[in-house]
Amino acid sequence: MKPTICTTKQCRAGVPSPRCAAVAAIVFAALALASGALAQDQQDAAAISTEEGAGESDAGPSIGSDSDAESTAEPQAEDTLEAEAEGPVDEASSTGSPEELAGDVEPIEENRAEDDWGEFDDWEEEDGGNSGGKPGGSAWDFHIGGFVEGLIAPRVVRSSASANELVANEARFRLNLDATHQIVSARFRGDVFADAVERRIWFDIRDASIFVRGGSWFSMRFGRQVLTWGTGDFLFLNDLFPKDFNSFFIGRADEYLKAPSNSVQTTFMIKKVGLDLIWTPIFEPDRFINGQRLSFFNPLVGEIIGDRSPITPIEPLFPEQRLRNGTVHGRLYGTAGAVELAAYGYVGYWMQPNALALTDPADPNSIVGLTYARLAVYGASLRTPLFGGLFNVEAAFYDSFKDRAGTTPATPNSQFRGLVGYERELFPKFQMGLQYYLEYTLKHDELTSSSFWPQYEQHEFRHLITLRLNQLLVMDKLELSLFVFFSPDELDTYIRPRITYKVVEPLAIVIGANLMFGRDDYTFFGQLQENTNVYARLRYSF
Amino acid sequence: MKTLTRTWWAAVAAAIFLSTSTMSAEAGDLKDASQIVNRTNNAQYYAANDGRALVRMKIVDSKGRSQRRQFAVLRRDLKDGGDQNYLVVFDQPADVRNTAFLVKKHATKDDDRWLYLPGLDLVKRIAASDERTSFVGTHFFYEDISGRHPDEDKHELLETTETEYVVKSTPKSSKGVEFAHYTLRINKKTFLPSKIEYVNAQGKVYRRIETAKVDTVQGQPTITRLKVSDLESGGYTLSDVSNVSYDLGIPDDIFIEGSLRNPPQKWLR
Repeated sequence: MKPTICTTKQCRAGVPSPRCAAVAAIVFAALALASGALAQDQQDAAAISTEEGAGESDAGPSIGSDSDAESTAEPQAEDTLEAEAEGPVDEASSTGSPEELAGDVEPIEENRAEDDWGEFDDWEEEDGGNSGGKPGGSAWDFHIGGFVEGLIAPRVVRSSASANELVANEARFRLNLDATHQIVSARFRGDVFADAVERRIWFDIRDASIFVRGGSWFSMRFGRQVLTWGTGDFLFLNDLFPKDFNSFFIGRADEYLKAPSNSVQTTFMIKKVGLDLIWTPIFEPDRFINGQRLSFFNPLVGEIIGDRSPITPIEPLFPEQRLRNGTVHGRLYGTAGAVELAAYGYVGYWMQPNALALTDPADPNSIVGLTYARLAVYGASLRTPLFGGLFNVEAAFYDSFKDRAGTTPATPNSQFRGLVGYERELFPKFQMGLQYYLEYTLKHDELTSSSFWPQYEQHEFRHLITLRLNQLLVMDKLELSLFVFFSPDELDTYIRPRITYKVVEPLAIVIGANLMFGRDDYTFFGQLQENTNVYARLRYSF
Repeated sequence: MKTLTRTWWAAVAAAIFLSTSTMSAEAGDLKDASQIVNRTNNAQYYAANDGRALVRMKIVDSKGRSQRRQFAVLRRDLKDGGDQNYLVVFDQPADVRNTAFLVKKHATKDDDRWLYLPGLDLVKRIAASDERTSFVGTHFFYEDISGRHPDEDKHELLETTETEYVVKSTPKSSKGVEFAHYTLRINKKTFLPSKIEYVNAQGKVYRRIETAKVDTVQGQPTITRLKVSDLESGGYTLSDVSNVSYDLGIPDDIFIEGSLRNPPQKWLR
C-alpha cells in the first residue's frame, strides 16, 4: 500500500479533517520560522555596513502567537541597548578607560561605572535578589523551574489501521524542583499533560529521587529516576533501562525517549575506576508501541493494527511483582588516557513483550497473550578521539537463557549486537555522525523452522546504518538537525528532520517530521509507515 | 690552560649579562613579547592552582534582544601553562539548567570534552571542534574561555607605554583562524589584558574584548568584568564573574563523569 501525502488540494476538495488543518498550520509555522531566521541573518549582515537600528527594527521572527511573549520580554533590553549601542564601544576605544581601570588593582572602578560600564550595574539591579550561587550561602539551595509545552503531530499518510488522524495533540506542564545540600540532594521532575489523542490527563513523574554522597568513593541515588549509559547515538545495546518508543516517533523532546524506573543506583569509585550497580526491584519494561496511538505490525493477525483493531491496545502479561523478578544492571568503567572503556552486565527481562504466553507450547492458537522473556546481557564499549573526531565501538551479547537452543517458538533467540560509530565536526558548528549497527540472531535455522510465522522473522543478520547531521546557526539559536536510520537488508528507513529555533530566551519552537518507509509491512521501521507524521512544538521554559 | 681561562671568563660574562637582564626585567620593562604573552596567559588562565567562580553572561544581539547564561566553574591546573581540568555547571537559561561540561584541556593535543544532558541522563562525549566558534551562543569563543596557546602566534612588542605593553600577535598558521592578527594591551603590573582587538585581512578591527573590572582576590589580580563586541553585527556579550575563590584544594578526582551527573556541591558553593 502506497502512503498518500495529504496535500492542500485534498483539503480544499472537502475532506474536512483536523489532520489537514494541522499540517497547514505546521507548514505555515515552518515558513514563518524560515523567514524569521532568514530575516535575522540578512539583518545581521546588513548591520555591518549600516548604522545600528536596534529600536525601530520590526522584531524579526514573526511567528504569530509568540509576539506577545516577545514584546513583554523586549522593552528593558532595548532601553539598555539604545544607551549602549553608540556610547561605550566608541568611547572605550578613544579614552582607553578600561586600561586605567586595570592599572591599579583594588578599589578602582566605582568612579567610572556610571558612564561606560553602567550596563553591568543595570543588570545587577534587574537581577535583584536572584538565586544562583550564593557564596558560602545557606546549607540548602532550593530551585524551582519547568516549562509549558504544546505539541501537535498529524499523520501525513493515509492509515487504514488508525482512526485518529493525529499521533499527538497535547499540552504539557513540567515542574522541576531541586533541593541541594553538600552531601544530600532531592530532585523532582513531574509532568501533567492533557492528551487529546487518548482523551485523558496523564500524570507522569519522571524523577523523584534522593542522592546521597558518602565521600569521594561512594554515592547512591534512590527513587524514581531516568537512567542511561552506553556509547550509541539513539542506539542502545547495553542500556536496558526503559524507553518510550511512542514519544520517540511522535515528536516529543528527545528526553522522552527515556522512561523512568523506580531504582536504587549505587556508585563506587576506586581511583579512577567506577562501578555502578543499579537495582530495579519491580521490572519496568519499555513503553512500547501497542496500537493505541501508533500502529504496528502484529504477526498474530498478519497485518498492521492500530486503534481500529479490536485487540488494541496490546496488554502483555507481566512477571509477578516479586523481588526476585527485579532487574539488576552493572557497569564497570574507567579511562586509559583519552580512551574510555566500560564493561556492562544485566540480568532481567527483554524490555519488549516479544515472547508468547501459551497454554500449549506447540500450538499457536493457544496464545493467551504477549509476555516478557528472561534475559541476561553482557557487553563492553570503547570510545576514543580519532582523527579529530570520536570513534566508538560497543558490543553486547543478549543471552535469552530460557531458549538457548532456539527451538522454543514462544521465546526470542539469543543475539549478538554490535555497533561502530564515528563522529566529527566537518565545518564550524556542523557535526556529522555515522554508525553501523548489527543484530546477529543465533540459531537462526532453528528459529525459522520452529517459528509460528517464519516469514515475519528478522534476518539472521540485520544491518542498520545511521547518519546524523547537525548545524547550529544564528548564535546557536537555530539548530538544523537530521537523523536517518536505514536498513539495507530490511529495506526500511526512518528519517527525522528537525528545526529548533530559540525565538527569544524562554521560548523555543520545534518543527520536524517522523518519516517511516519500508518495502514490507513487518520490518522494524516498515511497520510504522502509517504513522508518518509532521509535528510542531512550542515550549516556554521558566 | 688558556682555553680554560677563556671558558671561565665567558661564564662570568654570561652570568653578569644574565643577572643584569633579569634585574632590568624586574626593575624595568620586559622586552620579549613572547615572554610577556606567556605571563599574560598564566595570569589570565592559570591563577593559583585551582579556583572556583560563578559566571554570568548577558548576550545582546544586533536588535537589542538579550539572553542570559549563568554557570559555575571549577578549575584545577595540572601544570602552569599546560594541562587543566574544568567542570562547568549551568544554571541559566532555564532550559539548560543542570547541563554540565567536563573539559580536560591539553596544551599539546585536542581537549577531551564531555557534555551531560540531564533530561536523558546522558553523558555525551563531544568531538573536538573549532575553537573559534561561539561558546554556548555568546559572542565569546571557546578559545576566549579556555585560552589560546601562546605558541600558536608570533608575538611582536609594538609599544611600551607608562602602564601597558602593546603586543601584536600574528598566527603562525592561518588555518582555523578568522583574524589576520590581533593586538593585546597588557597591564604591566598585573599582566592581564585590558583590551584585545582582532583585525581582519582588510585591516579592519571587527572584534574587541575589553576588561571592565579587575579585582584582587587572595592576592591574585582577577578579571571580573569583560565585554566582547562583534563590531560587524553590533552584538556584544557582557561577562561578570563573582564568588571567586582560589586554592581551595579541589582534588583531581572530582573531574570525572560522576561529577557531571551529580556536581560536587562541596566545591561549587
